[in-house]
Amino acid sequence: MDRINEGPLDHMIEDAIRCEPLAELPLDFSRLFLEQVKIEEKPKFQVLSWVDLVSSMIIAITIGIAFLIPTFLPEQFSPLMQWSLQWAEYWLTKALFSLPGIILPIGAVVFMIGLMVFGFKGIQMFLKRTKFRRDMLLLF
Amino acid sequence: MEFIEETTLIKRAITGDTYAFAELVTMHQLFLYNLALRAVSHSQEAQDVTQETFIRAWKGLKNFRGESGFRTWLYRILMNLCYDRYPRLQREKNTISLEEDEEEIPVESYLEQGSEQVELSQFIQQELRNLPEIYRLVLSLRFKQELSYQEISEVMDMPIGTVKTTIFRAKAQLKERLLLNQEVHTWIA
Repeated sequence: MDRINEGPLDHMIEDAIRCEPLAELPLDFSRLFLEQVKIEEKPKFQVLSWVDLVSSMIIAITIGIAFLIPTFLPEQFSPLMQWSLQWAEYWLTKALFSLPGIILPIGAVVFMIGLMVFGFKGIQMFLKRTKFRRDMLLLF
Repeated sequence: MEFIEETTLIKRAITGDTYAFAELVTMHQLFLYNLALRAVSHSQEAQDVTQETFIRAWKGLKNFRGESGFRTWLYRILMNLCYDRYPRLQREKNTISLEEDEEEIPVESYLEQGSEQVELSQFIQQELRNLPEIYRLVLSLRFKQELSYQEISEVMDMPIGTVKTTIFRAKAQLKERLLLNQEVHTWIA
């Protein structure tokens, strides 16, 4: 015997629970996580495509500026520029044949990459712990 | 008809159809959100838990075997999430399980005639909010979502006996408050 359904009070309680109005969903409730679901379905390359685009643009602009600087410099700076380039070439050639000259740049590059990776991971972890994580993670 | 439609949507969602999944979300989000509200009592947290539930469901959809209903599966994910995030719920559940063998609470099922049905219903709904979360959840699953004891047992991760005891105790508390309210009204009158 089901001891739960027994008296009129039980029926009254059950009816009251059935008639209890449901709370309305907040606006845009499913939009954010459905967008996240759709993003997760895309291949990684597409997710990061805008990052790729921005970084390639920055690199291209930097290289372009580096090439254009000599053109826009006044003529009196030309010898100074040449001297600087020769000086840099001399030190680079010298560094290529010395141990610290090889290790230090490699170390610096590895350190920079490590810094970028840990920085990125740190931002991700921070965002995961905040309430705005979904909005921000969509950007990543 | 709806069952077949849902099964088709699930199959499509498993193959990666996000639109089918969005349909499933639309079908279940209201009840899931309301269930979360009963568990955590705060709209922002309930919203967060419900969204997380859907994301987990999407990620684990390939593991859905269809042995239980999709709705039950979703509720189970939600409850596991609630137990993880709010240990007090887990503690509350364990306390009920331990008390299972205790003596039943006798409550006299007598109410004076002439009480306004709507008024009483509103009073019960108000008192529901003051019940412990586990009681609210189980009552809601049983009478609002109309889940069987077996399904509630799966969702709440409780033995069927404990589910029945919880419902009984929750109703007993409501009855007690209802009768107390009646007594107060009679005394005032």
